[in-house]
Amino acid sequence: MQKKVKIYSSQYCTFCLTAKNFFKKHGIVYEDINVQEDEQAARYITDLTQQTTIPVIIIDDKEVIVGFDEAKLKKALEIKE
Amino acid sequence: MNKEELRKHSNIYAEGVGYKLNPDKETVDRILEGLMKNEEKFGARYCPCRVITGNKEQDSKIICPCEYHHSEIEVLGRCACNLFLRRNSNNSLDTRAPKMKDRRHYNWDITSKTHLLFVEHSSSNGICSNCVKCGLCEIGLKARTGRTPFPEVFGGSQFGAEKRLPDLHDLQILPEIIGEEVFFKEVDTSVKIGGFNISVPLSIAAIGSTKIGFENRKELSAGAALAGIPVVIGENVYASHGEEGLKLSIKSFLDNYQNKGAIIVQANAEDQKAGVPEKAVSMGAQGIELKLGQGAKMGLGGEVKFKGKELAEKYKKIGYRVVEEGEDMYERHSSPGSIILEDLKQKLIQYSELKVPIWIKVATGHGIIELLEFLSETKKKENIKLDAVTLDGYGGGTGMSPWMIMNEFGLPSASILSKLKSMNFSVIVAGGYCDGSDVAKALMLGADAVSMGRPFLIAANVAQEKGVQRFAGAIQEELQMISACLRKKKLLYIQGMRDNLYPLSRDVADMFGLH
Repeated sequence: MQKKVKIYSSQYCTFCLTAKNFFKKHGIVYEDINVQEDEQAARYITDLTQQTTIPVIIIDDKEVIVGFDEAKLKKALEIKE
Repeated sequence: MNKEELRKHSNIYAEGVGYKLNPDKETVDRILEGLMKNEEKFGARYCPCRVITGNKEQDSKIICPCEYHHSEIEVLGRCACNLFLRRNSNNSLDTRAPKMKDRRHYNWDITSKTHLLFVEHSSSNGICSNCVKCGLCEIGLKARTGRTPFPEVFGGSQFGAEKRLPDLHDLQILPEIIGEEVFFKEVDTSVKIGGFNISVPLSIAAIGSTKIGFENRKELSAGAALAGIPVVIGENVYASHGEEGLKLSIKSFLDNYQNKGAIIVQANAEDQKAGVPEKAVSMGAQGIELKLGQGAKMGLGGEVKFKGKELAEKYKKIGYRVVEEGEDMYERHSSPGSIILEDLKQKLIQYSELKVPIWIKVATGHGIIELLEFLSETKKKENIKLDAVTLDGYGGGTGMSPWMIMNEFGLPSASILSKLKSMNFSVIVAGGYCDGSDVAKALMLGADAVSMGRPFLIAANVAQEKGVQRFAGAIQEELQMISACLRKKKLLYIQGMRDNLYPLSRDVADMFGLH
């Protein structure tokens, strides 16, 4: 079963887009939360990561990846190629 | 401002600080649109790749160009959102030898997270002629803090002046055309300086108690012993790290000692009160250095910020001025010390009883010639063990000093050499020296040796004690080459070869007394 993927992003963030394109390319279903429209979510990720950079990607409510890190994502999502 | 205007402004900014705009137009378009949308919606051009928290002070840090982009570019080669990139390696700024003056943009941005006022930005006052209201300039910083800018990584990095003064790089060395061939590998670089036999006329300048200095202390000491050059343990080490701190450095030197070089312990006003010279000599230090001044501070003492009431009480007890800043933060102001000539004489007589060479370090300000002549006369009349005076000038490094003092005070130390008569102690120059040609020019102007701090700290950071040894070896090779070009088999003989230095301008000739 695919792991649960949440991405905290904004509309014009370049690496948020890169991450979402990466998910699409690999057929990963993800929940997209726009931090510019959801204040609570914004506060949640800044408290969680102690910084303001997005995207913040949370996998299975456990693993937190800040920024777009392809290698880390591949490992976390068990993408082999 | 429309998108094209914003692109132009971003480009001006990037060029001005030594970065470049991402060549990928699609990426830049997206970010610029995000910035404009944020301005429209939230009132400022907040970075579209960061969270707007609603806390104005917090959010002011993410107005593009944000507070974080310098350190991100340094580490990643790009800022978080990919708008600004480090310049390509084919750019001359990146491929030149790492002279500090060529890297000034990188240095001041990364360390202070602000753009200091420099003429390269615009007109002579340094205010950007095309202000994009980033608020990151020195004026913005002063408006936010009400204080003169200090480098912000207190004690965690090393700093030095950035303003371009005429200096040794404005002197060309003229080789000797007529004479017998000298093979550079055979040039003897050994000298006797400040009471010690050393393998090359170099010394590792006093590096004190600050984090970066202390973390590299063992490597610097061991490296100096391996290279056969003196190393000075800087001020406040005893106060900050206790006897163990001093012992660690002394032991690392002595464990690697091969009969060349020396381990010397510096003492500032507070160290002297705490009896550091006596303690150090009893632990095996081979010399002491009385600190009367420093090039990067020129009249200020060490300025340190730290956390914790307990430490504050400890420093107060030793005799430091400690000021509470709030939120458990404190500032420690160590004393620059008075220089009263008669008192200094008594102090030299007193410390001569320790029976080890005494060095003095002083900043090259007004009155320096008077001081040196006094010291020379005192040595003639009294039985004192004064063996070296280090003249620390403009360009000298520090773990902590306000930018204003570093940039606006003093002259390159070698500029006073032409005014000195022959001294009965070694004259060592310091402040911004970083390669063999610098050292050779200082020797040619009359210095006995050169002291370097930051270059050795960088070398220690790169490859520990071996890095220190190799760096000294590289300088030695450069000096051998220069000596060979001047047709001298012993490096010592290039001392005073002023006729072989050609000043590139009248100002430079005046500064170094070359006519």
